[in-house]
Amino acid sequence: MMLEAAWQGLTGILQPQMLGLMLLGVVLGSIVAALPGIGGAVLISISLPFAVTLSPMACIAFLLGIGAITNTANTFPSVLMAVPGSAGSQATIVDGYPMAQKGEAARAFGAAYTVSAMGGIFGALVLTLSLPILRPLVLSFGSPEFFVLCLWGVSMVGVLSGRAPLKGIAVGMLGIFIAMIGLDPKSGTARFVFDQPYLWDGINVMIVALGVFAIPETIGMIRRATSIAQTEYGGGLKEGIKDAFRHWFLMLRCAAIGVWVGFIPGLGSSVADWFAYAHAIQTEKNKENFGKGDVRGVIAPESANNAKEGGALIPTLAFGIPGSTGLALTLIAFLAVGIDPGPKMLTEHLDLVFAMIWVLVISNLMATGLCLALGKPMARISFLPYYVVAPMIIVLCFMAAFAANFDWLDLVALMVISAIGYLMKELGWPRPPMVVGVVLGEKMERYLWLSTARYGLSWLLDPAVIVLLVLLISSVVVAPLIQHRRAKKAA
Amino acid sequence: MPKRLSLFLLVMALVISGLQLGATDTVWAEIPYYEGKTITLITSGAPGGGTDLTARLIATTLPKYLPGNPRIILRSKPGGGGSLALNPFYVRAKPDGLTLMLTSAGSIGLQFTKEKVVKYDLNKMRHIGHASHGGAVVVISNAGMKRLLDPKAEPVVCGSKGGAEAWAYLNMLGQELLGWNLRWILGFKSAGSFSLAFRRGEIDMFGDSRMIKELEEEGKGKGLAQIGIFKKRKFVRRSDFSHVPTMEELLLKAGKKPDGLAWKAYLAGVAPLSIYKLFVAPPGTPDAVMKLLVDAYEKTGRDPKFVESWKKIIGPVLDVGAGSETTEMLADCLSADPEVVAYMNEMKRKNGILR
Repeated sequence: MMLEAAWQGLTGILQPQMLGLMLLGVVLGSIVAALPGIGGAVLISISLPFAVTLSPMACIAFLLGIGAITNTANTFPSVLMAVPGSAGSQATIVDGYPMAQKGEAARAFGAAYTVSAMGGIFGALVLTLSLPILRPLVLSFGSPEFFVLCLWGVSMVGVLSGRAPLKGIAVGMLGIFIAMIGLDPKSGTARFVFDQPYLWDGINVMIVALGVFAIPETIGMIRRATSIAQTEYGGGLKEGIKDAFRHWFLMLRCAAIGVWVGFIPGLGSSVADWFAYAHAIQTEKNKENFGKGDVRGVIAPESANNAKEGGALIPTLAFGIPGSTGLALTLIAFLAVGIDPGPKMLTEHLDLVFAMIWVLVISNLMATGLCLALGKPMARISFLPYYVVAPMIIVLCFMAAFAANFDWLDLVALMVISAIGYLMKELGWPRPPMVVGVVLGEKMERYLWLSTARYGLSWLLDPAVIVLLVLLISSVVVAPLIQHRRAKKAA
Repeated sequence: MPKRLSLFLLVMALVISGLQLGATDTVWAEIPYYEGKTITLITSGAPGGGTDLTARLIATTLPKYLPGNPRIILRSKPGGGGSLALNPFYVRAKPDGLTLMLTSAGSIGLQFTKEKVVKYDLNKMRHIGHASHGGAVVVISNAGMKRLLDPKAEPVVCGSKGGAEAWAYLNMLGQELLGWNLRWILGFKSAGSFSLAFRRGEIDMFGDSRMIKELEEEGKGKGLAQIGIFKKRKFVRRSDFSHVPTMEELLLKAGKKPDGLAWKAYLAGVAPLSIYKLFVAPPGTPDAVMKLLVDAYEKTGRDPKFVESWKKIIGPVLDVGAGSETTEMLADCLSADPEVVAYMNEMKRKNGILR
């Protein structure tokens, strides 16, 4: 029955009209993904009136075509300008931009797009294998488990701090403090808002990422008076593709992380890439090059962020509960055209479920082809003189920040955070922990509160929590200690 | 270096002026009023939310009924419970019918509870109309149902975002007048997170419109009560939840009269829901322009395509009102006496959900 449904789904999707709509979705999604601050959700929102007039199969092809690849083309601005194209491409900056500075932008693209496609296909495969156990899988995670996962994420601050763990912890705490600005998640009490309605919803993470990475790097480039690339040429697209296959096991592990984060509703795409990046640093040998343009630092987050889309479909298909804003909108369109995600779909419309899985696979391949074709010409941007590139980046940053809320105070917030970011860059303080603090701070607080309010302290005795805590302690404390001892012995 | 600096500034100026050119409206005409013009419709919700989707539906149909068939462009300005969009709109928007705003019931609640951030007065704005999808339904788990009326049993755990939802007043009224044994857990993020927590057994009760049907069908719980559609101070059951009683019916069944301070507080709490999405023009918009807008909105509300799209995208219930009807309903929502406000706050304080 499964095979029959898979075949039906494939033949339905391979019709010329469906492929055309999917290609349209992929092209539009790629354009939007490459423009920072807009994001796939906005495109889906704009497309909704059109999408609800389509047939169920066509609606799946078009909207999932957009959704599946929004984390592919967003690598362009991340690598070339240190500007995150969307929430799921922040971690790519940490090694992607230094690669561009070394003249290896094309290599970074080659690696990123290859692993993005592989990750997307891996996510689709995991989704297929999970079909019989979708519902118990999603329900196995409650507020206490979410909290421990967030705690695990925050513990990455140490890993992301290089040789300055104390500075990293301080910066991470600053990030958590920024995340606390706004209405507190449990009672709606305003914190640190100084009667400014702008601050009610806190500081947008996109503004923080722009201020911490993009603006300081651009100021640095203007001061150096060079192009983005400071050396002539360090490797091309083919080399990047080879890198992806060379590090296939890292790609597979990070794709698994992406799927895992994806199926947990509420963690979000910005978490997936940071988890994967930290995992790469924790587990890979010869880690001294991370942060300085190591291709593995691009492979890890890029494998995860597309794989996440397959994972995010798990709660949507199991319960009709979307894992992201984009999927929430897609769900509305699905309901409008007569697709009713949820348990019935798995029994009555398995062909449509498989159609979704095929769209994930085919649209990822389409997007990869498109981006690889554009990789070389795009990489040339990194060789343009600073006085051409820098104004564009600065305007792009301000536009992306303004797109967060359409408020001039977004620009003020960007300038303040940019000043902090620039100081941190000049003083050699690690910057990624700040973004991680902002991304996870609110979630950590929310789930700690929910766990304690509901269960008192008894949630600490929950078997799943204990297992996760043991894993956390072993990865954060025990593993580094063992590595340290081995290194000492070897020395 | 000066040459490079001047090139830098030149590129910067070109990029910015290019953007401005793209954003400039150049077409202006006089008769009919809206011919060749562009209306900017500001929404206080994030893309993809209920307010944003409602605005998109209005934007696709309204121009058809306005003389001159203008273009409508949307601008989302979420945040601050709607005040981020409403404050500048109230003070700065030109009263020429070319800048309009769609906001949600939350903005009415903010003005009602006199939050510090509110710098606007909805009563002074010009009201084009409103659109409502009916009130929420409260679902209770099978295990929770057994404990609901037993004061000695472990309280029924009620999940809420921040206790500010209209259905929270329904539950508080149940506590006050029907002796519901509840414990509030605040801090959930969305209806989806309620639904998962409910299935996992983390909570026994929550309110929503979309997620309830499936839980009932799966036998995980049942609809306990609903706010219903509230019009002219009367409650009627939603057509899609005709088996779930309204709170008024539950009270009458229990031999209680729906009156007194608790009932007034309930009315004040759920009243903004009868408006749900409020469509306004800036204060001072001329009557002639308002007439065009109100007429067009009335026709939009009856447009078969609009109604069909609403039912597909927002929900099966659509209640549209325009002009003076909206003005009267809004005045009702914002006119509760101080005694009622104090009582509402006391109910919230007792349950640990006062902001």
